[in-house]
Amino acid sequence: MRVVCGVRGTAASQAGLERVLTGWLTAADTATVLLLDADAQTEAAAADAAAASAATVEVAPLSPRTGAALITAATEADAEQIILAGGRRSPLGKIQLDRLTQYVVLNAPMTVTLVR
Amino acid sequence: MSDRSYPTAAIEVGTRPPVRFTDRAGRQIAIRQVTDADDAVAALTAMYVAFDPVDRAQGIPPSEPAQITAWLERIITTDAVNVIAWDGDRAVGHATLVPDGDASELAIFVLQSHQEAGIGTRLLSALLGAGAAAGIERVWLSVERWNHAALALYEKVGFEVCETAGFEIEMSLRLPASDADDGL
Repeated sequence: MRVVCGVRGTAASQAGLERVLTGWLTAADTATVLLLDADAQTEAAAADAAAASAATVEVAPLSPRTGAALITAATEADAEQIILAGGRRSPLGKIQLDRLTQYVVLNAPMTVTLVR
Repeated sequence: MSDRSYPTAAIEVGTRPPVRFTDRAGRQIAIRQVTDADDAVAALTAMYVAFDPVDRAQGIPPSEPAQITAWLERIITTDAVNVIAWDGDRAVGHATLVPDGDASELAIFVLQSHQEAGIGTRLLSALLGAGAAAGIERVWLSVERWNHAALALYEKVGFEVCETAGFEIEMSLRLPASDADDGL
């Protein structure tokens, strides 16, 4: 299976990030990890996960950092799924899907998996 | 989310807790502000364990008892404002204002067996009264688009829609500046 993983560097998405990088890169044959405003630590984690995976993994920054660009990249990579670490929580604990995540869920022609 | 807009005019707040009334089903309901966090967490864990999943909103309350307790312990803190509706010794409604920078996020839940009895309106009003007394001026919430009952309730107490672009609608409200008459 070919997947495109969207990875963001915010502290709030780190739990999802771990599962994206360990779980989904293992399940995929071919994966592209797109870095969306990922910090150095997240970028390093993505590189380590890519090196450890048996799959063919490419790690690249996404530019521009928009949902449309993510979908275009996934389409060009012929991905069957987009995997997103997503879902921040409000101070009260409500799940909040940011605009990029909402855009991807509503507009991607392929399956979108949110890892929370 | 610090760019959220708030109405310029403050609402008129209602009665602060404690409030006692007879609901539309004839039950004696008491609304009290939480003072003992441990008691509140225990009573509300029991309420949320009995909660129908259909009334969950954006992932809260959580589904497992241990997660419910952990969530309650995060939101029932000294700098938050929590009020509970009691039917006898049983918690049947809960409303909360949780600090979020210079504002507070609001949520309210009423047990299914006690919905459509006027409890939500009184609980919300009591919470806002307690919030104003605690010095809170900006309140926001998010609500799912299809939750018309909640939207109507929020509009009734003075919330205004401030964001509609996403899956949820965000609403905000301004409370009157506090006299800080209770020393908070």
